Amino acid sequence: MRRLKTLLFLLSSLVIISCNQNHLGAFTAAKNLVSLPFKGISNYFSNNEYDDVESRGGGNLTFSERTIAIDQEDNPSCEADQSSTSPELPIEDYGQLMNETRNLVCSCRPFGSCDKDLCSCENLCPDNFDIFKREPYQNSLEDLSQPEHSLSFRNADAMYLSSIQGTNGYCWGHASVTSKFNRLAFFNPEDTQIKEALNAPPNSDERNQAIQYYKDVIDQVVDNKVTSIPGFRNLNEFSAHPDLQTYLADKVANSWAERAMSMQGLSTAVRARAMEQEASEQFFKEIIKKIDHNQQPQIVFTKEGERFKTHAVLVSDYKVVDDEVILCIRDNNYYPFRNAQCLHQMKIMNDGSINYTEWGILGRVELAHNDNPDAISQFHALREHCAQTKDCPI
Amino acid sequence: MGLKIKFIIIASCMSLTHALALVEKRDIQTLESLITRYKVDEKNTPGEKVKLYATLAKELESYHYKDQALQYYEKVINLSLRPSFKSQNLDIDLLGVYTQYLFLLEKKDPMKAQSFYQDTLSPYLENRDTLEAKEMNLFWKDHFEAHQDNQNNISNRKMKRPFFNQYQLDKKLKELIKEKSYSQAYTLIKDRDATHLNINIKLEQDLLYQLSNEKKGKQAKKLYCESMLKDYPKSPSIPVEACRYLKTRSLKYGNLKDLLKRTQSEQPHLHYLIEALQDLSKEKK
Repeated sequence: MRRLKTLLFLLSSLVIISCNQNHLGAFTAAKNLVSLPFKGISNYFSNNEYDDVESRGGGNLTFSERTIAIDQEDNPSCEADQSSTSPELPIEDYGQLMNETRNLVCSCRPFGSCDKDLCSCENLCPDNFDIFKREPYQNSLEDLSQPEHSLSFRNADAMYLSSIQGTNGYCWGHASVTSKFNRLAFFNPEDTQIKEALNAPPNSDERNQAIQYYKDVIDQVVDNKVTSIPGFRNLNEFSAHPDLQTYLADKVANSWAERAMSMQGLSTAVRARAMEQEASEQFFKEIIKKIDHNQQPQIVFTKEGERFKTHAVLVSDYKVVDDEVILCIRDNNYYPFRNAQCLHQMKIMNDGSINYTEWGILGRVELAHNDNPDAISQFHALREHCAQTKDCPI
Repeated sequence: MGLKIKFIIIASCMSLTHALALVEKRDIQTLESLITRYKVDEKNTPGEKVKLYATLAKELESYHYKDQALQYYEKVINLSLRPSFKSQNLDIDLLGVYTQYLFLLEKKDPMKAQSFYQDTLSPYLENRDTLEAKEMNLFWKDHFEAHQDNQNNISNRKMKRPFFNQYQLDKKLKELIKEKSYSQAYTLIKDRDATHLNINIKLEQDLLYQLSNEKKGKQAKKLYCESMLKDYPKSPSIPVEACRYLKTRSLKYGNLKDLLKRTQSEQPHLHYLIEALQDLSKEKK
């Protein structure tokens, strides 16, 4: 009897302990840390956790699927035509049909308008990076690059060639703040009460409270928290307001300092030799994976042969053209509409170096060190917010 | 094994798993508890301790626990500087730790940061025979010399260290504006086209143009901030009022002293600009 009790106790304990594999993952990660070679300082736990969430699935068309899709566009004669004339739909198309029908009534997507009886919690609050597929994401990541979802001011004016070299603004802060607003801000233009209070007379309580309210909103987003923004339609409109832009610009400068004044900022800045084929391919692979998981990652780079000539941008999407991968760059020095059209591009050249249409051959190109920690914080923040608003348990 | 012992083992496992789970939520106590649970001081090798402390410091820094991150960086550094650590030839690259620590420390205690650079980082970089190490050393040397250099040699520095120049330029501009050296400040930015840049830069550009000797004898220049007056005609916001004053020498609400007072509470980071705006009224008289 005593043995049975012990066994039952052990079994029930095991269930409790092992119910969350992520916890065990963190344990293994911590254990592995001491046995790994110490190549340099890193966000080891955040990167591990990032990999864990990434491995949970979700995502867009992968690289190979995109290639097939493009191949089919190029060769419309074969299977695509046959399926369109087929009287019987394959079973997976019924699922698609159901989704489309359901979407006529409400939207069944991350943070969609359906309630959980009509649309599963897996769709409303996915436990992977599909959680980033919320508005302004509509059909693709490129939707985020539209002018209305970009800051109303640029980092620096690229058309202008300064006689003072290198005073290029706060690119890394600009990219980081833009990405945070795209992922975490929920704009609510109908609720105009607080916004209108900004026009109240100076020093009135009404106005002071409204300013403080919006400053708190900005702080929260910059601090990777999900935030509702009443009174504004989108990021462009919000960041154009004179009461708010000045504070936001200050945050961009501070965010730059947090990121650029770091080991990665400095070590990237001093490395200006063009990358080898293997390193370039590894970088592209990493970025493609991030895009497949609904992220516009932040990257930093130098120009070949020019140490300290450095820039940070978002990679908004990628294309596969003639088996060649082209990264679309959302460059904060240019008009946002150009970014949305993938007019700024990076690709790997025949010699293995990376070429950027606006800069020529690049030196060191890297994923920003804050990208994974930010993505993980934002993932948790969105999941928690979704759980509350959609009544979906985490 | 007795039930009691099994219970203890399971309870410890559960608390460890729970603690590690919280690591994912970036709880500082749990990040620190990782160290204690691993009993780092008792059983780990110096190399293992360095890895754990350095990783925790980086994570803490990433999630804005800067003071705690500094403490852990210091633990790593103290360990690494022990003769016993050096003699073990552990093949551990500490450059990242030293650099990250220095950037963090520099914001908190510039004097201590400078000593650390001179005593530890500089000799470390000098021992590494790579171009990157030399460049890094030059960067820090330049950086700390800039702090001491009151003779304003910023233009030369700019040519050398572009990536960090906006930051240094902004600091220098603020200093010059506070010192009322407006013409000198304007020479640093006069070629900048602020058309698509943020309001702070537009105001700075417009204000310095008017305060410097640049505009004397010339036709009035179109203000960069002017579009804001058109877009927000009724706004009492400080940038709009400042722009209104630059254009018309009048305000919609109160006088310049009121505006300065209001800036202190509403937009303190613009205080230096609004203070400089007062000098336009003096110039007029």
